[in-house]
Amino acid sequence: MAHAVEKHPVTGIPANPEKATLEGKNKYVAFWFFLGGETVLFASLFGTYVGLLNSGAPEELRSYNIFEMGLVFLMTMLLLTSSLTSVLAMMNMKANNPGRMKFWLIVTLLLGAGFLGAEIYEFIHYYHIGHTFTSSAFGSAFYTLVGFHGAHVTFGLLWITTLLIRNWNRPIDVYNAPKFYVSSLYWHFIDVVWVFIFSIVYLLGMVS
Amino acid sequence: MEKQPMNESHKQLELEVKAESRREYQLQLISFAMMILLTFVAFGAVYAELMPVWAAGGFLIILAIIQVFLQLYIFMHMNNRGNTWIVGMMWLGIFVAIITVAALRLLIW
Repeated sequence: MAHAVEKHPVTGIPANPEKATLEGKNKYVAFWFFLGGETVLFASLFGTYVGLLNSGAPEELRSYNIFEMGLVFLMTMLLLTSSLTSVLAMMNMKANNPGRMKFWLIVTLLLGAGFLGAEIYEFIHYYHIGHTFTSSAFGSAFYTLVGFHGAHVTFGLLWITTLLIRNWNRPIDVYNAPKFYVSSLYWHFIDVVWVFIFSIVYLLGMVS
Repeated sequence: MEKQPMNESHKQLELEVKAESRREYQLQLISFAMMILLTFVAFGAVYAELMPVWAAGGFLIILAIIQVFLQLYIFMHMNNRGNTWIVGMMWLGIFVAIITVAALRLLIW
């Protein structure tokens, strides 16, 4: 670190520890740029899905016959709540409460794991009724889009777990705060993508 | 060295920090409540089959866009001071995303 950063007299760490150093600022801005790129990447998958909706699928394997609203609603609630707990973790990080930050991050991880478990259950169910990656163009587009989101959730879980283990006994400082903050941005972005998935893939698939 | 004298001005500062954090907390909770509400409206409308099929797409997408804006601007603090480049790049991403979806939608049949 090139120079000392000003500490907040109450919390004992800088007011925005994730952006207090040049390195932190660079990570913050660069990560947002990455999310801008991810937006386009997911858009290409959404466009493909919308174009291929129900294409090549037999009547009993079409979107309005296979999607279960209850499970999707549960998954939505899990992920949405995990986005809030991630916010609470970051608020506690800025207030220099490492214990509470870790608690809320663990809650976030548990909710995320619940979501992932439900998604795996859903995919296994589809596999058994014959809706697979290779069963139709609709199947390919569906699994590419939803599976890619699921892979993001998996990566986010591993990322936050690694950060927690690595920094478990460390105080919050300008070195690890940007790491936590950027991982929470990633987690919110996963929820941003899911909002479009539950609206466009599932709900729209049920009415079409 | 690090110890702060517990004088009046420090106490005042502590109160200000607490008030600020309470405001932030309330804002985040209100935002979360609105997201839950939007989700319920979206699922409820489909569950109760309230909409004609032609209107469902536009309605659901508008609800999704509102919810995503709450995520970006309140949960993720995209509009913080000094985020000009971030906002610019995100909007560029959204712009290209819209063109991508529209193009693929029109090209595949």
